[in-house]
Amino acid sequence: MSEVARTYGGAGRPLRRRRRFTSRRHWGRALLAAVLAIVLVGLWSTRDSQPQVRFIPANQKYLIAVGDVFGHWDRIAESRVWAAVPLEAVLLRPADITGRLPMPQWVLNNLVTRESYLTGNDISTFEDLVCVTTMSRIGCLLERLQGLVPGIDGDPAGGLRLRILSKPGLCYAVRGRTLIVSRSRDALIRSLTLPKDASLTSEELANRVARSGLEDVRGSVVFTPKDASVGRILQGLSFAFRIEPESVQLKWRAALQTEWRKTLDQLLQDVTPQQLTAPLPGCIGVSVNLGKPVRQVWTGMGEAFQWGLLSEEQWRKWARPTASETPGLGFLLVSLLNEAGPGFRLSCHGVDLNEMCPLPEVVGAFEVNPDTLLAAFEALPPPPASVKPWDSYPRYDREAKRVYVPMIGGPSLEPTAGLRGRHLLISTSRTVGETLLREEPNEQSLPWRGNLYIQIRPLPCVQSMVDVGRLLAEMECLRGYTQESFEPAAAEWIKKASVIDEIRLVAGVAEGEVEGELAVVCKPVS
Amino acid sequence: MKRFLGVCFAWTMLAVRAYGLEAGAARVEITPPLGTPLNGYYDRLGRGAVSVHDPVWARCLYLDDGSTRLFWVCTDLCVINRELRDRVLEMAPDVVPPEHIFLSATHTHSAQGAMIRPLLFRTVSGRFVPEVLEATASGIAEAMGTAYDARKRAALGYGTIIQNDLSVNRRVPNGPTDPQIGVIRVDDSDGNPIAVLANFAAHPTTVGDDDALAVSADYPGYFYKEIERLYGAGCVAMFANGAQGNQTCANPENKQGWARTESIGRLLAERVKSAADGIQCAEVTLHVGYATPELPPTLAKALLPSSTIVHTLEINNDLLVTFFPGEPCVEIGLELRRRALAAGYKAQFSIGLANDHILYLAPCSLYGKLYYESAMSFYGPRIDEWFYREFSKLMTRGKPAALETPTVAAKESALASGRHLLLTGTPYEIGYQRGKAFSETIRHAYVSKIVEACDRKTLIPDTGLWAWAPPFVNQTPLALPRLAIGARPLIEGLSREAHAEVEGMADGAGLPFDAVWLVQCEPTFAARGNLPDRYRSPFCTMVAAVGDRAGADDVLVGRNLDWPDDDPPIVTETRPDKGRAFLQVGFPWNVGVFTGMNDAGLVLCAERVEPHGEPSIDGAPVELVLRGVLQSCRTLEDAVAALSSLTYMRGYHVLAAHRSGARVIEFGETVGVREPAAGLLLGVDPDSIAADETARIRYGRVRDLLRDERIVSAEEMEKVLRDCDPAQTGRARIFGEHTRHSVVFEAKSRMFRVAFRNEDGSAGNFAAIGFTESKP
Repeated sequence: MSEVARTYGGAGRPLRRRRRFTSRRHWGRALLAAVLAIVLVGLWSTRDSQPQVRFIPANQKYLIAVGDVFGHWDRIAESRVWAAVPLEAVLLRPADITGRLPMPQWVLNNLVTRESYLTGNDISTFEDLVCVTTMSRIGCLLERLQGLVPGIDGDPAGGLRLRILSKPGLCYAVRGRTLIVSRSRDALIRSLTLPKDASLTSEELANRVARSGLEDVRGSVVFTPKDASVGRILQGLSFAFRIEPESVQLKWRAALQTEWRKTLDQLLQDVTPQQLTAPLPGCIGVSVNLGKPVRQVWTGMGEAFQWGLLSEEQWRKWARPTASETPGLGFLLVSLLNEAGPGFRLSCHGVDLNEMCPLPEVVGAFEVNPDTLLAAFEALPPPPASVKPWDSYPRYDREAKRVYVPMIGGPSLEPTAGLRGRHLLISTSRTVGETLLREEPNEQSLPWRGNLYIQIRPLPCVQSMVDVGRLLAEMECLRGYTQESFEPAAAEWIKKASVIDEIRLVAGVAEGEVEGELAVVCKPVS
Repeated sequence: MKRFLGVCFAWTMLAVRAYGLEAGAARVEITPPLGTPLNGYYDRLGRGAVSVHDPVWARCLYLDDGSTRLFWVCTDLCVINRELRDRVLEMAPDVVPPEHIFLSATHTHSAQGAMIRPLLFRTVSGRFVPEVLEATASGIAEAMGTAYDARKRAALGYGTIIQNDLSVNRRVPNGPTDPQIGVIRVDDSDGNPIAVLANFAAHPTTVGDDDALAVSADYPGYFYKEIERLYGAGCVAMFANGAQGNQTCANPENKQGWARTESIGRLLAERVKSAADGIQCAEVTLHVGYATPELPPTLAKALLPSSTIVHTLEINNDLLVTFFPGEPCVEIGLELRRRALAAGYKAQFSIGLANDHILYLAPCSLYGKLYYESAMSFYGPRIDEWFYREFSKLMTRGKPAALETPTVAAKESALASGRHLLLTGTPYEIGYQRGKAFSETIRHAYVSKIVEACDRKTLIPDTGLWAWAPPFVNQTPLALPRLAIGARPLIEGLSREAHAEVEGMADGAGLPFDAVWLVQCEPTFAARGNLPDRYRSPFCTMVAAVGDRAGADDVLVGRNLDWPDDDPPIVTETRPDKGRAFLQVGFPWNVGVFTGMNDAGLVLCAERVEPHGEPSIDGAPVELVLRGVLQSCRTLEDAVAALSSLTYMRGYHVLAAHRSGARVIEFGETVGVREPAAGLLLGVDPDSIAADETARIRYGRVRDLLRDERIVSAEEMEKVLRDCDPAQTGRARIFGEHTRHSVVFEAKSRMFRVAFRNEDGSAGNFAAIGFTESKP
């Protein structure tokens, strides 16, 4: 028996406990380490190591930046504008898009987080479109689970590790947190293998898709004359738009091709933004001010578009009819418009369905010097004695200070001109013309400067078109429709048109380029 | 008991008789406000009236014989359009059933338009002004109400008087006119005239150009004035135009301007008075016939109705008044009168422009003339028969004419890669059998060759208003009637048999006549103008061996037909009740003959020769002419004589052969006849500088192939027709890519061998068909 004092009393238990504790701590540490390692590996493997620009080729024809649309999904998807989207484009509605995607919204939100870029060279079929976006770390990890998801196949692609979604026909690859998607395998491989000097720099990116506000989508397109019809006119177009619950706003700036600049030279030379006057009432209203006389605009249009009717030669011919020619509508127009300008406005009031031939009732108002205009009225030659009262000949009513030209049919096809404030008013319809001439003129300036302003009220426009269409359909003369098939189609058009209150476009010429803003404004919900 | 019933019956009859006639008449002015467009002339361009020369009226006669009540309103309007009639019926006093309301227009061209809504008709009637429609309908309804309120015991009589100086045929000098002026007189119980109605056929278009925008009732206005002057203001003068489609006013007093208008109205009134004075009025019975039958099919279905109103009024079962819903030409009125009188009526009046307006109604005899009346008649050449039949169903005398539908069906048998069809009976029956047998093919031909060509704008001009139409306007419904008008002159010169056959074919296929006629004319139209190549393939090749080259006393003809469309081929054997039987190789939809032989062994085939000019559209197409020649000629000389007389024909060569010889009739600037040389006669002379190069190469090859044959056998001819010279392409080849059939005729034996193109494009095998002479 040993004399050594030994201490008992449960010392072993703590030891055991300690041992147990040590074991737990060991495992705990291991677990912690493992978790840390996993987290670290996760963090490491989902680090944002590859900038998006690295995969965007420089000198692509188009580059579009899409903001965080999924982050603002509610605002965009709930916009009332979608209710007016034509039926053919129904697949573009956000609600339909999300309904068709084979993944829940939260997955989508993690796959597309920040700004995404769409780029390519093919502007006719968009076959080579490449989308470059950034995933969240969760999105990145979810992507790692792609092996568990049926329908995603691996494609080694010489070590590029592509993934193929056979059903929608998409290829994608992940680099860091950057997701690169395309319908074209070649385009995707090209993006992944870009030499550094062939990809876009951050500065170039900022230049091409410059921010102009709180836009949802912005971008730029470069055209060549070989591209479809737009390419023959425009050299480049940059744009940005934003979708609000009650409206859509689009800003754009376009550079014309050299050939077109030459074509429009006479028309647009020395043009700068001007003060514009609000259009006359009507379903379509246009206000123009190029800062030059109407005659120059008229003949400039004729020159640009090779319209013989608007040519300088025709103007001169109308101005001086030969002895054998009857001074008709052309003579009247050039006589009155000779000194008009620079501002003028055109509007369409609708269509008189009961006229012999339903044509739009168009009204023009041109800035004039009232004294000069009245002198021009007075200078109109009176009809010769041989002219019958119903013959097409300009007739000046000195008392009312109005000019009429009987044409065919009734009053809706009887051009009428008169002085309205400081404007010459010319209407294709006597009824509309006289109504406007009786009203007190209210010429308000628009809050924007520019050279062209267009205002469209879709519902009355569509209603007029439907009324004319119905008349034609009754005679089986409406292409593509029978009387029976027309009514449901017309009802759909009216339903869509009734969502939009107005469409406004203001455009101007600045520094040799054309810029403008388009707004589509919905009717307020009653 | 029997006696009691007899007394009751007699008492009832007496009571009915004792009711007597009630009548009332009224006039209400319906002059439109100034500025209202006037109806009748396109060249007014829809401009509004600038003055009123004399007022226009709604003049109404109310009649009630105790069992039948009716309103007859004569209006000073150009037409009674549907919108107006419908609105009048809505507003009419509820004392007469709607089907007993007769609305007729005097057809003045100087009264309000503005009441027609369909766009196309606004070119003549001006802008649609609902207020004018409402006011006019209201005036007409007011006239009815006033006439009803003025009703009193009355007596009625009618009579006729003959004139020969007040109207003329406006198309044909000394052409037919209706000499009859019909008069109806209604007196009150004291013998005072309540109303005098005149029925006379002539367009009220006497107002001159200087007053083109003045409102006027035209000569009926002066007629009213004169009658009411003669009989007193208590008498309402009424005027109903007759079968006036091609009738207009004469100028017996040689007056000008309004004086001429006054002259006609006054003279008419004087004649009417002389007739009315002799009329004995009495109690009368009235009988109204009313139907709304389906009209024959029309090409202008987008513009014109598919049914209309046919109305009759019989007075005492002696006078038949027939109301036409349009403008019948006088020939129709005269024939209907002849039939009515034959059925036992004592008199018949035709009232035009009544209750509806389905434009002009031209009789079959005028349908092919390019007169305005026939050009504006779109219900086919049998519209006259249609009206006779529909009126006969409403007449209480005579037997209702029934539509005779042929019951004999075409007999069909199969040939190697084709079909053989036997057609017998009258020309109409033959056409009907063909139409019935191939209705689907014919409809398809119409849609693909005409309707779709319009849709593609290949048959629509790119000039004038056509070019101005915006792209959303479907011009086909407008182009089809216009094309039908353009094809009308091609009916001129067509044999009556061929015409009847097309009519039968249209009925058998359930298509409008104009549709089937356009299909017949399509090859001619297609060969004209700068149309796509598919229309320009020639009809080739034709060759005849005669005399020794064909063996003794025979003629051998070889023929390939080139055709742009892949239409199914068919051999048709036509055995009509009159004229010669004949065989033709062609297509189911085609009445004409491109390749044919009759039972006398006369062979005819045609080839388009472009350097000889565009085919003429001043007469029947070549294939329909050949058909008539086959049906009527026995000898080569007859055929050559008949063909040589066709001075309007251009751009074709026709090969005519008989066992006595062969000739090629060349239709160029002049008509020439070419004879065989060295026993051979080719459709085109390969040495002719007038022929195009491909034809010269093709025929040069034919000549080369036959050069060494002393006697050309049928087998050798078959070989020539199947020749595909590898050195040539297109039209320079004998058997080309568009060759549809090859035929070898043996004139003496009246045998022919026919081969159709195989599906793989190769030449098919020849099958022999015999043909016996059926009649001397």
